[in-house]
Amino acid sequence: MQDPDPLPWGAQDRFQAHFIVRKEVGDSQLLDFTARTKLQTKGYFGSKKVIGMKWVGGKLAEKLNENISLSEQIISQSVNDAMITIEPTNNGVRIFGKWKNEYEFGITNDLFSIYDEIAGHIKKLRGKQKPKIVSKSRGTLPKGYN
Amino acid sequence: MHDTESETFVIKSMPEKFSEKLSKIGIKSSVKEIGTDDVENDDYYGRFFTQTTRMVTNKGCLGVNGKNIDVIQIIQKG
Repeated sequence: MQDPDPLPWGAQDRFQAHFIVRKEVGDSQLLDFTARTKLQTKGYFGSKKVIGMKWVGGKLAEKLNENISLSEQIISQSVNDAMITIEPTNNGVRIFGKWKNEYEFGITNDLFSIYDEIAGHIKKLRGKQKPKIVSKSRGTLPKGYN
Repeated sequence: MHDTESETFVIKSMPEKFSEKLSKIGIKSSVKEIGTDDVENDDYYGRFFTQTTRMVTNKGCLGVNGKNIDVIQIIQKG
C-alpha cells in the first residue's frame, strides 16, 4: 500500500526494471529504435481494460505492429503492464513499463515473454552501419610488394 | 499470543529479489555487483519522450542467460 503521507524528498517507493538489449545504435537511427504502445481502453479506474493497441514510433514500431501475436499478448495484459516504452541509450536499447511500488514490482511469465520478443525484434532490426572503407589508392599492390 | 512472523530476516537487494521472481517463472539470471556494468555508467533514459523522470537511483543489474534480453537494470524513482 502506498504511503498516505510521503516525504517530499529522497527515493520514492517506485521501481522500474529496464530490460536492456546491448546494441549500438547510430545517431541517425535513434528515432528508428524508439517506440511506445498506444492503448485503446474500455471502462474506468479498476475496471479499465485494454481492448486494442498499436505501436507508435520509428521503424521498430512498424515491425512490431506487423507482429499480431505480440499485439494480442499485450492486449491481454493490465493497463499498467501494457504501457511499454522502448528507448535507445548510449549503452543499449531499453524496454520498460510503468513505475510500480515495491509490492506490485515483479514480473510474470507472459510479460517477460513479451519483453523478450520485443528484444528479438530489436536485435533483428539493422543497427549502426559500419562506414564503407574506401581505398584512396587505385588498384592493389602485388603480393610481397612492401 | 506471539506474532507468527520470524524475528530474523535476510537483507536482500532489489536485484536479488527480482532474480528470485525471475527464477520462479523459470528464467535464470545472475545478480551483478552494483556499479560494475556499463549500462549503469551512463544515462538511463534516451529522453525522446516527454515527462521522463529526472532523478533516479540505480539499484543494480542482473545478467540474463539464453534470452534476447542481455541485462536487466533496476531503477528507483528519486
